Amino acid sequence: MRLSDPYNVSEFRSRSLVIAVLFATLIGILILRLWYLQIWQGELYREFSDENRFKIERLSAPRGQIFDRSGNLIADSRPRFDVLYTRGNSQDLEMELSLLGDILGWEKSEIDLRLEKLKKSPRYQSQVMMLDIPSSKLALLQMKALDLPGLDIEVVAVRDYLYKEAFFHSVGYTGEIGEKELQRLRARFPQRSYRRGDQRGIIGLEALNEGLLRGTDGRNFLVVDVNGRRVNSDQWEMLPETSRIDPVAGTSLKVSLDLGLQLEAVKAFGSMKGAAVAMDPQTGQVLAYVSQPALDPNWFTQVLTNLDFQKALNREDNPFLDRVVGEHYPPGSTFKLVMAAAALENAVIDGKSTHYCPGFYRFGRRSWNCHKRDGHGRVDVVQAIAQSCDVFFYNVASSLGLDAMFSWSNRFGLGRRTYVGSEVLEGPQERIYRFNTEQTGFIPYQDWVRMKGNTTVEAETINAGIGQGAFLTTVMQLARMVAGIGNGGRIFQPQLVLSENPQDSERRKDLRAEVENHLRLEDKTRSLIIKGMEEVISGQLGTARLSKIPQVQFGGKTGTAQVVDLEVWRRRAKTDKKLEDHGLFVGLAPLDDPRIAVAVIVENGGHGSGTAAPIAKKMVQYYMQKLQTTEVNDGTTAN
Amino acid sequence: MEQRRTSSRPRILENFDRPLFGTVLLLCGIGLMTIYSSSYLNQMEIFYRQLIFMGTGLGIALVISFLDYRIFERLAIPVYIIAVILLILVPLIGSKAGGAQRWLHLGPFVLQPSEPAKIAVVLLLARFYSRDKVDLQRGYGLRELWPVVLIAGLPILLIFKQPNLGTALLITFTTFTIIFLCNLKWKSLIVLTLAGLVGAPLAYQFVLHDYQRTRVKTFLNPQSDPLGDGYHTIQSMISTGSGQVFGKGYLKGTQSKLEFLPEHHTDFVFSVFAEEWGFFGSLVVMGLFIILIFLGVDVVRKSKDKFGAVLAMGCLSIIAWQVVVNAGMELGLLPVVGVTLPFFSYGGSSVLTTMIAVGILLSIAARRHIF
Repeated sequence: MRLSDPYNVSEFRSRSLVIAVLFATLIGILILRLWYLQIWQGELYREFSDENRFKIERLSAPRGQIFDRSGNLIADSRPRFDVLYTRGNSQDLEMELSLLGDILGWEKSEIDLRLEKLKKSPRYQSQVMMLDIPSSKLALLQMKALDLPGLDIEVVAVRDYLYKEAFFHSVGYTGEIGEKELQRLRARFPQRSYRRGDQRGIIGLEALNEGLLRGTDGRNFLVVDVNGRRVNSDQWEMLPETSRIDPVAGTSLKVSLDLGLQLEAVKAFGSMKGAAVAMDPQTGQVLAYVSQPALDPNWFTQVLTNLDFQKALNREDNPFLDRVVGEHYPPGSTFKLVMAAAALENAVIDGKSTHYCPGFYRFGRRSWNCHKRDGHGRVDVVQAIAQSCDVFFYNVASSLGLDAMFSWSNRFGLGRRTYVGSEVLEGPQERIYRFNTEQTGFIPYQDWVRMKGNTTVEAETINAGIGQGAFLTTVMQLARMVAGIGNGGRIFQPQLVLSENPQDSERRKDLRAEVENHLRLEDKTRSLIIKGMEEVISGQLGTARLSKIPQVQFGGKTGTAQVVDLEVWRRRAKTDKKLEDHGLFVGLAPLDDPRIAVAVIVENGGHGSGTAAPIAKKMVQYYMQKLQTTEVNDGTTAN
Repeated sequence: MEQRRTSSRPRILENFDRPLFGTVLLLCGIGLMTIYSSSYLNQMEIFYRQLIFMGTGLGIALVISFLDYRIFERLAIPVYIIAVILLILVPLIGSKAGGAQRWLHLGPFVLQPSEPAKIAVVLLLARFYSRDKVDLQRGYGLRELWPVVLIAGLPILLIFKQPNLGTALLITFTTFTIIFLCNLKWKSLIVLTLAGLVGAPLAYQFVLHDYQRTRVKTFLNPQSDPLGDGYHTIQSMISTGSGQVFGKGYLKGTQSKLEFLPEHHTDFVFSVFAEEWGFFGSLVVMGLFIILIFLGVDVVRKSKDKFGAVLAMGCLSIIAWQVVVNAGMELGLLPVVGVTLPFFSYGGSSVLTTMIAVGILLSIAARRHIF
């Protein structure tokens, strides 16, 4: 046999050993690297691989339901189906999108718009194609799901307001969280896991009770492949059971509002602007809370373009304004009730005191007119209220002085925020949220008049005597004032939420209105004022005698709030409706044991007897009838 | 002739390198198992094809092991010429995939000519060294290496142009291993090393394609582009690392099943294994490779002629360098260059080349006592 080499191969031995050691060293380095990756950093990489394969799907939690005082559902939660598309999962984007467009009824231009948006989007980031599709389309989409590989349907729980405009300002509305609020809400409710695009309460009880009403979103761990497509985990017994955390609905609320009464009040307003509040004088519970005009709150949970929103925002009649607490008006003659009470309690007058009204009041070189130019003649306090005699109260004001009036106004809760609906916080903590940016109102006082310096203290005092001048109060303040007269002087922080979790006997939490101030009015004072209020409606000369309700002891006080001063009004009010006076009315029924107190303002409604009183009448009539029937029913069932 | 064969047959069986073949069988078994794991969900045909490749490959390896390896000395030149012709054909009639032209369609078969080219180069180098009259004891200087540069350089250039940086580098490494083995002067070795150190940055700048440069850059900082070029490396490291000590369990690797790990049948198959078997499994496989290398070196040391020794070292180098480069790449130690892992990676050309190398090793091993 021929050997290819004639000499010793052993020369290779040492060098081949060097090579073997070289390879072994290199593999040793690989082993070290394996040790580093799998043992030293293993846990970290295990986390990475879990992150890779789990996709967290959020299960949107429904907001707590809101019921009226009798348990009627006012605000519910419904699933909203949004269509999303992901470019990276699609095969033929243009074809799939035109199919999607066919199903959802898009125009060619709308399809192109969305195609553009998708093409510019990151590959595996889903883009919103359409919000809130009807369930009929949903079924169609699910049938075609195989032809639409990039399709995703996201389910978001949104509000369903059953009575549209009726509870716009009281219950409020929800909408998408903006960038700024996101930070604030996350800081305030860290448990609630807010995310961009979530719904949150914007005004009313929705905003005030955001922390209660918002549920806790659930999570579903899905196993996904590299394309983010869901993998059927049953087929994969090796994958751990996907752990699901169910969403928890928010706390439901029972509010003090009465559905029927609220709707009645809204109906009574028709197209008029203004506000109405009804309150139970015995408990401080708000029975109706109406501000007109209002918007349909459902509008904000649907597709809302910036343009539509801007349009609503720029409306001249400002439907966003809450005229119950968010705007203050001069109380006009309704303030005479406070004047009467102050004068009687301070013994400036008594039931027999009279003043003569010649139709004007003179002080120094100035003269103030009564609204009745030929004068009321000699009137006592009851008739002064019934006929709303200005001169009587000019006199009373002069005797009382501005600071006494200021103090009494304050004691009746005027010029102070009512903090309607808010939970009373113990201790000196500041209340964080003002319900619908509640206004304070304003009551003039001597130091202020002197500081301001454009009129004398005396003139301001006389003006204030009939609720004019610098005077400003909110409708809610007027309502709790008149309720206070009805119940002997208890001024409430008005209550809007009756209970949390009303349907869950274990977690139910009942709330009570706080009495903010107890005036302890003399019986005599109360009965004189009540008498005056009764005369307003039942008296021959009463200012609201047209608003009588058969078989109901209904009393009240009309008022007129000037929008501009008298001179301008005379010149222009006939042509410019915006300068017309606001009509006011406050009322109580039944007078001997009041169950309902109302305060109504009709903007530019002229005198209170013409517009405001009829609305109050309808509300009282409805509520008294309802009370009667339920009490009769209760009586029969008890037997 | 006839008589010698009959007389030598029992001795060949006797001298069959059972440990080497056993190690190879073990590695093939683990490799097949891993391919099954990475394909059983939706690409079972890949497992079946690999099964056929492995079976055929092992058969060819056995057949070669029974042949007298010295016939390869005669075949070296024709094999080399055919391999070069195939490589030249690639850019002319080859098919493209992923920006590179590497495959030839031959009837029902698809051939990657760069794979057999590895064997061809090794064969011709062994033939050159066995016939060269330079005194081994004196050692080779750089000037005497021009035939080696010519033999290896031509296919390397053709493969590099495809472009297939991985295989080109692999043949380069193998060639250097052979040059070193065949008594390169130490002085020349130092010169070569220095030249390499100077040449590498220059090559990076002027020779590499853009995509190759990007790969190197990404290798140096995979986080720079986690969804683009760094993706392969990051996902492969996640797969391996997430296996931890004992692995996620066979068939339970999520990275490959959910396809986060790209190319988990071919270039990144070891990550599939490491994810499911953890550090212990990886240690076993690396241990088997070390055993294979020492058994292979043993064949080199015990071979009775120069041709056999050089050829054995060449075949072993092909396998060993692939292991180092591929695993280094999967573990994020080397840039992604597209080198397969012997016995593990899916692919006919790659399996067959590895098995031919194994067969040659076995053949040389079986004949170390016959002289």
